[in-house]
Amino acid sequence: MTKLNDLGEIDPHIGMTRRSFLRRTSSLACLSLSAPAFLHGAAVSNSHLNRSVYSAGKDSSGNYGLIHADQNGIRMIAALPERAHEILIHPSKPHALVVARRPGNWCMIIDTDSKQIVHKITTASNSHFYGHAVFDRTGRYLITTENDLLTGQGKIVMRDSVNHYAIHKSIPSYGVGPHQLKVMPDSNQLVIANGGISTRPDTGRKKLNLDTMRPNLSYIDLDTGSLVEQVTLPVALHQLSIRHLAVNAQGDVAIAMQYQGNTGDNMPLVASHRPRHLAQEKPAEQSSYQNNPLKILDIPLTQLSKMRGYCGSVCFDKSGHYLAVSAPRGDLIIFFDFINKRYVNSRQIPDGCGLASAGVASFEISNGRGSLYHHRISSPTSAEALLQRDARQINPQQAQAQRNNTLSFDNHLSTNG
Amino acid sequence: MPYFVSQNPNTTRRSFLKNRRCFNALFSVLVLVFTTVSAANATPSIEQWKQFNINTVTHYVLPNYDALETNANRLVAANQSLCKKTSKETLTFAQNTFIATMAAWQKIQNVRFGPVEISERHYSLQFWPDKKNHIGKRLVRLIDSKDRQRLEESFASLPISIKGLPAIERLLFSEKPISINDDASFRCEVLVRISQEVHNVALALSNEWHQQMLPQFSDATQLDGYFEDDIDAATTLLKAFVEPLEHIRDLKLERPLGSDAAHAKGKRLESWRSQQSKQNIANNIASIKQFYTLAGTAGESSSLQQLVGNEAQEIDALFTKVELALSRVPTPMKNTIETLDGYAAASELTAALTLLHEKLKGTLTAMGIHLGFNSRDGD
Repeated sequence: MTKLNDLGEIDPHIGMTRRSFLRRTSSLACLSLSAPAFLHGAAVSNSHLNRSVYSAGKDSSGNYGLIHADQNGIRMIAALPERAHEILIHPSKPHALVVARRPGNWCMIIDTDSKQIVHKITTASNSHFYGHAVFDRTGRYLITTENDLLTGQGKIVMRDSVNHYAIHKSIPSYGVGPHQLKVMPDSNQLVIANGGISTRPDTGRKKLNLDTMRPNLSYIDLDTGSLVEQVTLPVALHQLSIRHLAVNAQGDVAIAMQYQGNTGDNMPLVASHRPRHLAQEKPAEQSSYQNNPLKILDIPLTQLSKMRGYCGSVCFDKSGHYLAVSAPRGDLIIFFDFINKRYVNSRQIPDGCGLASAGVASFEISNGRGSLYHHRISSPTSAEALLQRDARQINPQQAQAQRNNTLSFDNHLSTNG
Repeated sequence: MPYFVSQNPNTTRRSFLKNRRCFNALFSVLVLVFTTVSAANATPSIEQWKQFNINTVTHYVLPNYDALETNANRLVAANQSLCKKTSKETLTFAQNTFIATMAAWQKIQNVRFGPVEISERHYSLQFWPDKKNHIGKRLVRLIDSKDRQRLEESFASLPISIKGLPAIERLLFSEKPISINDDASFRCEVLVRISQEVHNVALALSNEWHQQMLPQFSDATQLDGYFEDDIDAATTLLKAFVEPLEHIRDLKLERPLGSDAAHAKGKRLESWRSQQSKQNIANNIASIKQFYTLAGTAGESSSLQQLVGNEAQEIDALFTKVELALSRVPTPMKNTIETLDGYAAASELTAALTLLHEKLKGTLTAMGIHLGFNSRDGD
């Protein structure tokens, strides 16, 4: 019997627990399972990693630092003065760039071989970072989202890596509270999540404009600094802060949001956007393209309510077909068939947040308890297949984990190689 | 000559021995006090967390699930009696039995991991908040259909929103409750069938916690177990202790309260039809306090109240503050939160819950329990 969720949608992982073992001992017991009652998974201590991953993090004594994990284990390799956010791997050097969490004003460049800080970037006195950065397509310019404290508006700052990261150019982000940004694959454009939330260093992380906030997704031409396209959510959804984003090789953008209203409102949290120059042929009689609207990706209400209005990170798999979104407040990672704009399933991971692609339909997932999981999703084709798969002994390769319980992985995970 | 030196050598020796015994005793007391205070302030050991876990499951989780099963079973019988012979007495009895079942659920509603996650059992027992009136619309559709085959043979395929306690509450406490004319009616059959489903779920939860979850806490490090270690198990349990305070504040209070009394919406309260909104919160708080003070057979050292050491005094005071604030909330909340006094009282309760929540969160963090790094302070 196909199990539908309350919205009438097929939910293959209805009842999925963090270890999924109980589902096979109760509601699905009718499937006459002979397999052990437990999913191989989080207790597996051997490494599954065949690459390096980096994350900001904290140790059990409360010290912040750069965490590195590979097949030899998980360890903190460099100390940091404060909590950081995203780690960026230099495209050609053995450097990890560690960006301070807002309202921090530093970015450390750490040699991953020597584990030494080789350079420290500091923002201008009237500015602070928002925790995210990218390199431009040439790999020469470091691009960061920053807050202009004089105007309260967001700005994008380009620094030249071959000139000691001196500021090359500063352009507006075309919004308030710019957070994550990415370089578009097909042009010299940036896409920026302007979260819409105004903060000031003198009031710390306090949000100052929740009643009037208006987040947007902006595309900016890096050469000219001009705004190419900007999309917003309907006014009724103005408290959905567009915070994190991911771009696949086809140029599709996925956004993960954080709701600033009551968590019980169960607002949508994930959306997609296709830039207008990819979505439409330019009509000959029109002088410009029409903006393509943001499309909400539906999540079953039972899962959406668990997410508690908060997404922490978003990531495409290698193919760009699948999308993972973390919801650490709900201990949940949800997966989408992005091409078909369809929710696939979810996995319960306590305090899970960091995401990185680990190949086609595969992801690395980190959490605040020092665990690193490898997760592979499969493309279900029918409800029956879903239940059959649910009933099978899941391949251990789908759910391996390694752990260092003296460390906590921060929001984001970066891979190298 | 020092005054304590006696001229009598024997006396002196006796005094010395006596003083030494006193000194030793005093020293022992001091050492005991010192180590006790130190222990109370230190991070609990793995063994202490293990004892705490087993104690909490044995004396808190299991009895509360058992109580839910017992009450749900009584509710089936009460509703069957009501439908066999509908009278004011049988209706009142069914309503009271429902209230007892809801109370039992409120005392274990905070445990949102393990068997209750299977097949969305939590939502199956209580689909709430029901923002879009799923229950009302679907219940009416089901009753109007008079489809006995669906009720008897394909009940599993019905939406989870109409399989739980809120659906039963609507049937027992609506403006037009089950009446004498409903004897043997389809509406009554729906009531009994939903009650049976609630009992089935409660029974499964009780059995699975006894048979499968308890061993996970007894040996949290077992290969391919549910937990990774005893601290992981303790963290999972402690989330069921701390996070409900936010749930109560955000969903059971702030959402109905809105921005001010003029905008408060009494029908957003939990269990407003049966006028149990305040009692539900009282049961939640009582359950959380039980979790905190539980002594168990392992002795007081395994209670959370003991493990938090010197913080207990402040935490106890904050519990009292919450209880006091709750006692000042007038009933029925559905009406009173829309008045200035009732709104203010409920707002005071939300503030007290915030203080308690912050204190517990900070205390547990200092004890090495990370309820959430990204989930609590992400960006």
